[in-house]
Amino acid sequence: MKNPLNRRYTRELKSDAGKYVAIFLFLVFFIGVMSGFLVTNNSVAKTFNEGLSKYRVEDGHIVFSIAPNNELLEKIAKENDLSFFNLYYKEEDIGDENHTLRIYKNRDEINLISLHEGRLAEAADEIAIDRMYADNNGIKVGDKLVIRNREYTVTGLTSVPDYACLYESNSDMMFDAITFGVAFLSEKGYSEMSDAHEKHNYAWVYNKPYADDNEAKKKSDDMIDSLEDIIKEYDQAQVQAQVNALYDEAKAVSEVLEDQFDDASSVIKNKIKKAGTRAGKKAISSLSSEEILNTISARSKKSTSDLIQRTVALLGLSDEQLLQLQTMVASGQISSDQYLGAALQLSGKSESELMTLFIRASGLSMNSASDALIKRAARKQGTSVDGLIARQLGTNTKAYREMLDAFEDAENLLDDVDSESMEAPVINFDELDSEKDYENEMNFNLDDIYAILDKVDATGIYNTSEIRASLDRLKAIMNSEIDDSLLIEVDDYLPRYLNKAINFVIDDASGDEAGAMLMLYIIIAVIAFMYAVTTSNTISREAGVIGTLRASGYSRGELTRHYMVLPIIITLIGALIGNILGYLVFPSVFKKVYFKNYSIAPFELFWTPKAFLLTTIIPLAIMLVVVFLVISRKLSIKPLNFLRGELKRKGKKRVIRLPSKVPFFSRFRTRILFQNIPSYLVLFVGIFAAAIMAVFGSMFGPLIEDYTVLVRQTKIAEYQYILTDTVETENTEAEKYCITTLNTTDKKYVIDDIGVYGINEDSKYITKDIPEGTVLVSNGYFEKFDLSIGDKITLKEPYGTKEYTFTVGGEYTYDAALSIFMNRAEYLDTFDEDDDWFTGYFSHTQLTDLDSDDIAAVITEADLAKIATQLGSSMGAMMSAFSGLGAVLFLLLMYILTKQVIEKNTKSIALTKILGFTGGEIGKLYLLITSLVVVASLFLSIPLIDVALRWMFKSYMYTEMSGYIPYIISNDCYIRMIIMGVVCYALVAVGMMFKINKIPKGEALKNQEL
Amino acid sequence: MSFVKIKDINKHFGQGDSYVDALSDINMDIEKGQIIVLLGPSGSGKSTLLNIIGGIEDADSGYIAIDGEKIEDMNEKKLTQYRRKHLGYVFQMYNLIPNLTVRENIEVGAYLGKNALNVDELMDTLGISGQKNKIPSQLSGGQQQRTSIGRAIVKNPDILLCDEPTGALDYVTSKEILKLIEDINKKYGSTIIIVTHNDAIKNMADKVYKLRDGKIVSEYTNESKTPAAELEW
Repeated sequence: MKNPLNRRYTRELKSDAGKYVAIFLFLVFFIGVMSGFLVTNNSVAKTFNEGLSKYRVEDGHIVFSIAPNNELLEKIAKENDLSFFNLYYKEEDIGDENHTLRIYKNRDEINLISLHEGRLAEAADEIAIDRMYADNNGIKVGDKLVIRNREYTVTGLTSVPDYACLYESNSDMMFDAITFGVAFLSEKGYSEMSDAHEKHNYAWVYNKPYADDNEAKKKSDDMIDSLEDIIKEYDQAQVQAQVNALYDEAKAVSEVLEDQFDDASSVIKNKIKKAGTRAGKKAISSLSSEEILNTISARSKKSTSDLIQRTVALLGLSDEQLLQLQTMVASGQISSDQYLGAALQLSGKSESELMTLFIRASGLSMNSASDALIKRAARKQGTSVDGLIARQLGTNTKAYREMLDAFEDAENLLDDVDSESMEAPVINFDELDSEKDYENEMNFNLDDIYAILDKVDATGIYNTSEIRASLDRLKAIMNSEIDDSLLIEVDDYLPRYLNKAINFVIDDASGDEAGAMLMLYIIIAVIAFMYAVTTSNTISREAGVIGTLRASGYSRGELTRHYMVLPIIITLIGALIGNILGYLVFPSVFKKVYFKNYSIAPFELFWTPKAFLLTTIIPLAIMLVVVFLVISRKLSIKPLNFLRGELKRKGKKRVIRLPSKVPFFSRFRTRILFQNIPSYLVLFVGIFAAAIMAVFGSMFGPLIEDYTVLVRQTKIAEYQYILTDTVETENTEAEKYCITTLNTTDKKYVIDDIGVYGINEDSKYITKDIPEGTVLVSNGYFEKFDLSIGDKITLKEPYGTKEYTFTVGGEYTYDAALSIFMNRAEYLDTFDEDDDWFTGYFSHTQLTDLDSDDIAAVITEADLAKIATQLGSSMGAMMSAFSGLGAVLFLLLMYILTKQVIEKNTKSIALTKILGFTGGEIGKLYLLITSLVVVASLFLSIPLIDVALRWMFKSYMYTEMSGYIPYIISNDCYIRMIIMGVVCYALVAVGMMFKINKIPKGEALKNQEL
Repeated sequence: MSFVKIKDINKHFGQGDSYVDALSDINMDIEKGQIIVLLGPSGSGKSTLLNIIGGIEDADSGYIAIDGEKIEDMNEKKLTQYRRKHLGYVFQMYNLIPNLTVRENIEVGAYLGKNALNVDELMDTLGISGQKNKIPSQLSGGQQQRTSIGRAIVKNPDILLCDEPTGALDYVTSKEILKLIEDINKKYGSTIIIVTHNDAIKNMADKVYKLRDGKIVSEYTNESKTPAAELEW
């Protein structure tokens, strides 16, 4: 025999249809939505996983600063056991609204294109563009796009797996499918487009696929290490080759220079020599014989008479002549002074030969005698020997002497540029303080050599122009810089497992899935408690029956099951129908949401047991557990107590005494409050759950607005220039700063880009003092990473392994980006930059004197608030759904629980009617307290919502998403939530007033609840 | 050995100043098929005794054995089985299930018994066949009590416990109900224990126990029973 109690179910459903239909519809809708969401999510995940091979998705990509040669690529590929695929792209602005298109060639090897409409570009002036970008910008097949002044016809709408989510940069917090898109040209179209903005991007695929993210990470880390080494080796070789070439050239020039100096030296020496001879002769000829005699006498330290005697002896006079001479002297015919002259006459020699004779007679060398004589002559002319030579050379004594002095040093100086010993240094980046140091190796001092030439030039005795030309060449070689543009750098490196453009769809889906399921279970628990409370009131109402049944032999288990059946059946059927709808109806909605947010390939829906488990079995289990616990506890009271209506588990009903001074109505209401505490508790929890959904659903709009204001308020300067080179500006407003980007290393969070600023000590723009040896941390970084003053933060190079540790010295309010600020001097020291290094300017006015080629970027407010715009564009639709769901939950809870309070008091209400209370008064008695509970719950929810959402921000948004958005809930959101709650309650209250009015007075006269 | 043996039952309520002996040294021997009336004023302990016999209240000491089976040692599960197997309960308040019909309310009892009586026949016996599809709120008090008796008796219990079965009924209806109880006793041979404060009812009993202040003040066997229909008060 079937348990006759079972027949109650359909009757119970009929008699309380409002409650059950409301809960049932809510469950069907809610579980349907959740199940649809899961089915879609799982289908997307399945399609994604299958798509990895179907669309040959890259394992990562790398962008080089210049086109690498094959050798380099092969080396990287070989060391890491992977294959590279050329995926060069050109990034072009289109339209007037800073839209960027990343333009590729049609692909046939990797990251294959899915066509959603039309066809790929075939002619040079055709283009296929990303479907989402096209949708967001109203672009259709057949439309024209102008890129770099050329018109292209859109031939197709596409999606590619490497831009399933349109992240322009992996460090963007949110994707942006409004201002950023990808496009595809034909081979010809691509090659005809200017290379000015081409990026040298290569996708890679490992030859052996990895199993999971851990292995992917290991492979990627190994690749970074090997990349660092290979590229260093490559760049070193580049620098070495350039240095060698420079040295070879310098060596050749030096050889020429040496020859030129040798030539110059011999020419000049010759000239001096000749001039000296000529000047000497000229000088000596100006001396009288007497002067010559005296001079030689003085130099030879022989007396003049002695000298004369010796000279006469040298004249070779015959004895007769000598006798004649002596006779002339003795007879007084000639004086002693005339002795030499007479002897000369007798010898028949000329006076001009006399000087030579003197010299011979003196025993001096010709040079010594000449020297003495020239000096004498110079003295006579009031000058020096150099003066005589200078004069002979046509210059002045000073210039001539300086030239002579300079030449003495010349030899030493030329040793420096000695071509024999000139060897190019071996370039090793590890041993250089900075990569620029190789230039210092050739830093010879050519200025001194130039000075020598100047001195030669001052004398005018030699034309130095050829030497100068060689020197100039050498100088030019010395000053020539190593061509950095030949050095290869990694501009971007992104393994697939970190690539948000590929993975965000799946990550977001799983994150959303967890969040959605948590919400589902919380709401199911709320509904379960609601059931439990209403059932528990039914049990109270049916206490006598239960007591009788128990006394007659019905077991507690039978009755527990009996009271559990309806909630469970309703939940089960609701969940089943919800699941069916979730598979058949809602996925189309979610498909739309997916296609609205993501640029994914078309996908089929797959039913998965997981969706069924999560949206049917688990909610059912929650319902079972909650309802079972509450009902079995309620039914554990002894049969006799049921019969006596003593439903308190312990002791007798206690009546709380209320002071009689309190007005009657207030006491009455207080009693209703006490009577319905479980209902009100559930109402409170439910209101909190609904309110949190309502606030969460409405918080992002105002948050984005507030954040934009904050960004504006806390910006460093109106204009923040980032330069390509260290160019100076005349603008006095401008202040130099340095910036570089490092990555966070805290494993708890996803990797974030941190802007590291080097700020002048007396900065006008960052006025807060930066304590020595520490950094100021932007408030976002501080908040997101939960930092305190004194903490150490470790950051690493984005594409390298070098780590830097900084000490937090304070917080700096700068909302635009996660940043740290350090003194410029410390920055230069930390990053090994020259003292005059800087990367940009802060300025309150535009720097009009900078060449546009020197400006890499100007950051303005619009750039800073970009994240807010992105967030706004992608979260809008989803958020309104939350608000809607919140409102429905408000209505459901308020309806069922308020109705429950009224029903519990049906008899009393009927009695008050009999006593003469008006409907309004009864309403005040029974509804006012519920109204107060509703309003109090709404207000009390506010701090709890704040705690819950703050927790959610910290534990989910901050750890799972890169970038930063502050946690701000505008008061408007709370006000809106309260209004929503009050309006929902008002609707319910009006309905309940009708219900109260309909309660017949006869209810009061029944001796038991029937 | 008697069918129901009640031996040295004691029961108190409260502690300290509010300590009350609800039952003191109660001993009874009830034979199968007898109608027993427990008579006494309010607070005499008669309902407490009935509840202890019914296994829905514990005694402080003493025991009750039904057909030799003691109920003092039973856990809740066994007690439930005991009640299911042996007992039918009728209360002053009918405690019918409001959204089940008369027939269904009786079936609720039938479901518990292995050898349940034929419901339709029973309804005929109870005189409520005409109301079988009505729900309790459509019935008079007497009809509700008949239904309640039907629910108790349908499972063919060994003992029918009736706690003030006519307490909420008028004279005529009360007599009808008492007659019904008498008929059931005759027809099904059920042992029936009736708790009442109505002195007149004692005359239809095979055996009468008078209680006052928790004690049996007198007990006697009716040598000549008065049929219920002839009772007057």
